[in-house]
Amino acid sequence: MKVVVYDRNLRERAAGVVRILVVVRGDDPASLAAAGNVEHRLSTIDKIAGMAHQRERVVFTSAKDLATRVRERRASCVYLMPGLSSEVENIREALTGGDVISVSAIPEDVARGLVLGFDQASGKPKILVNLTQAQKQHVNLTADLLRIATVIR
Amino acid sequence: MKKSLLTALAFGTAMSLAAGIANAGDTSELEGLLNESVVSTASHTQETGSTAPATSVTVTAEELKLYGVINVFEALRYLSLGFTTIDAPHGSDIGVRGVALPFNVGRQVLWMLNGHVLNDSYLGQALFSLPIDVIDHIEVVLGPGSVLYGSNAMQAVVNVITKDTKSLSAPKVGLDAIDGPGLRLWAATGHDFELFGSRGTVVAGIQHFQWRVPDLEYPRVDFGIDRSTRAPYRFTSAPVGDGIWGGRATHQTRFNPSAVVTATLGDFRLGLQGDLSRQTHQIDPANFDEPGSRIITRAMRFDLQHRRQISRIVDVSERVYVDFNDNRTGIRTSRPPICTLRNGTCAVDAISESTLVGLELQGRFDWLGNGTFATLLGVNGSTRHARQQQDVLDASNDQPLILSSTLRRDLPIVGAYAQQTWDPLSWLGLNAGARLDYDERFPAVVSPREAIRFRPWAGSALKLIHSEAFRAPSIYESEFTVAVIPKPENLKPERVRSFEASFEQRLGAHRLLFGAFTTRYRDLIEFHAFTATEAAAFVASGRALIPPIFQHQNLSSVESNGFNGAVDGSLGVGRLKYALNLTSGVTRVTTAAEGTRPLAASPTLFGNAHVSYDLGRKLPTLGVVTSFYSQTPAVRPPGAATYYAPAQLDLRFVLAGPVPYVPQLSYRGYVSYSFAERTPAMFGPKVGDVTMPPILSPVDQLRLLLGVSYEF
Repeated sequence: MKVVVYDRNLRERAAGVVRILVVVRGDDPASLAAAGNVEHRLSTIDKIAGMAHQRERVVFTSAKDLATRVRERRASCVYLMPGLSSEVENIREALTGGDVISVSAIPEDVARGLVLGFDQASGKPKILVNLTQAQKQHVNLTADLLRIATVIR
Repeated sequence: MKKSLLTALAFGTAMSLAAGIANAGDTSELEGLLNESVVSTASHTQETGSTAPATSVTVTAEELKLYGVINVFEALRYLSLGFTTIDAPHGSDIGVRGVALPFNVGRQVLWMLNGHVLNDSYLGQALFSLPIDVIDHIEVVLGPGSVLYGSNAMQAVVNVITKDTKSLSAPKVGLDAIDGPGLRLWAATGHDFELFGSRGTVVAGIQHFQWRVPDLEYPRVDFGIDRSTRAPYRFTSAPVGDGIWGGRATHQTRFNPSAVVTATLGDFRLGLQGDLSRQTHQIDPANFDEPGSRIITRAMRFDLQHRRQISRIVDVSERVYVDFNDNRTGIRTSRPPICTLRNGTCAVDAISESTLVGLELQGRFDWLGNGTFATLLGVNGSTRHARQQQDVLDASNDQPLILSSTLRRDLPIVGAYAQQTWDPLSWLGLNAGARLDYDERFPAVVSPREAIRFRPWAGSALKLIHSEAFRAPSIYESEFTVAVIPKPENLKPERVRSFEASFEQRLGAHRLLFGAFTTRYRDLIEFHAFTATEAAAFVASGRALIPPIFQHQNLSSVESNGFNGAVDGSLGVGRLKYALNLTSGVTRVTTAAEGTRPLAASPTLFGNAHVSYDLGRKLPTLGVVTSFYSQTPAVRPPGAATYYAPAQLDLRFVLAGPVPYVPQLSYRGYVSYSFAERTPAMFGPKVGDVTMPPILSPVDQLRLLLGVSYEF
């Protein structure tokens, strides 16, 4: 969420509460294990960019349902756990035109159409940004962030 | 833990730091996060360096490339914390935190490639080589690490991690030319594929290194007349000697190809590694600068792992591994008592072969499903088969002079380990574990570790660690025997116990580390040189038929107290990078024969530093790297006075970047200079009762490298 802070549209999108959907594949143990870790980390944070935050676990059914859930919950961030790579292109299409930052645990998913991801190279974390998709989801990342991130267009 | 889970954790960590961001225009905090190493060697779990239950260091591929590093030992010396490497005629001796045990060749460090042990399964030494351009990073965990890894992890665990297909998406080839002359040719590639509905990757690298070591000048020492032959000592194959040892060494060469392949398919991971090393071997009692004295080592290693998350809380892995090592040492000597030919030269040929087959099963139980309370259980069983044969031949016609000595040994070893981690609070983490190792040569060994970690405030980490480790005698040490080297009696494993406290503080993209340690080693195994009285008593007791010369024994204990510190970071959005690593320790060795004295080849102050600046666009990156150590007691024969080698400072100026107008072609080069002329490694013959003068191994002071690489 340190990265999300660099989205100039976050405040307007969140409107005081940063809502995060943690999306899992219900029959994938690795997906559930990763979600447990992420939710625990989120639970240790008081505020994100000075705003309260809420998290909700969502079991993936379809990209269309996910897009609907994003709108209904007014989610600022959708975080996809492992096991959903085969759905990324559908999710990209469903979220295009929306107002949400999509994040993946799988680095390759960023090139496939999610806005933000993390990778590891030389034993250090890397930030991946899909700038084209960011614009399509009204995510306006600062030049400072883009300078230290690996940008995919 | 899978990489996807790691990235989830990275995201979580990033989130947890969000509250600290005052200004979204300032990326220094974020840069700090990106500068923090992620390690998995210390606890078999992906975690940041600041949360690992040990002091850990990561050397990156970028650093290896920029600074012209051509092997792992050089990487540790110039870029890691706490390591010294001293090139000696018998190999590279590794020192960790100021403790370089005699003639160790890396035995007290556990070396791994993607978690597969690289220590030679017969000698226990670090005799491997790897294509440097397939290395993604090197994880260095300082301090005893037997808790998860068993034997040899006494001083440190060094785990080399290879690149994935994202880092090696296109084939690359390269050539480095080194003065000497020498060259390093390499190629590396990676490829993604789909098979049986699963995603697969393969990464492969190959390297060939050969080097004619520049001529080195040794002092000429006149040993005079050999009383047994009443003629001048012969340190040459010539039929008549002149009693002189030393002069200009012109026949030192190295030839060293190596290859690595890693492949993944779904939950499976396959690793293959092989290397061959052929180099001149100038160790005593070889004749001086004898081209026929050489050592050839070969290794082939195979590793197949399957890992799967079987439920929300249980992750299991199974691993099968097989190693083949052989080592052929041939020296040419003309001196009695080994060579009894009056005017001839003897070939002493030793062949050792070993095969190791093992299976490791591991389960991780994340009881709360959030990573805060997890148990790791594992069992690792292996069996080794070793064979050694030693012959003494007439070098002129290969006729045997002494009956062959042959050794065969099968040795099963089993280890079981458990580790519990618990993070009860966001600022508090606990890690406790122990490993039990069974080896039929000595009673079972327990290696515990307990670590506690605090985060007093943002960006800080305070750790307190107690750890113990051991090194089982190598099969060579426990079993090898010839007429004048009796088999060891009741040889015990070497043991070490360490207490450590460290504090780390991150300030944006900068990191500060300070730690203090106290370490006790005991039952260290060395060659004991019998005195005439001891040898006579040994024969009288009926344990040998002829007076022995050497025997492996648990001879010494070592105490080391000191501190280490590091400062590293980056400025200008990563364009300027710097690091300084310092270690200081007082190290004393105690033996029954000589009491307590400074440990040889173990400097009291040493370290390294590097700084680089990327000029940007198509311009080169400039850098300077240095390695240094204070005045150091030299390795010396038992009973001789302590002799000090001078302080050493190596400076290397580097330049690397893309070739203008040929974007796929890049270059690198360096000029390196060593200010001291000698290393603390003593070298020379042991001749009867003649006291050897302090002959320190000379240093190749000026070294140049120019390399090019092409990415397709």
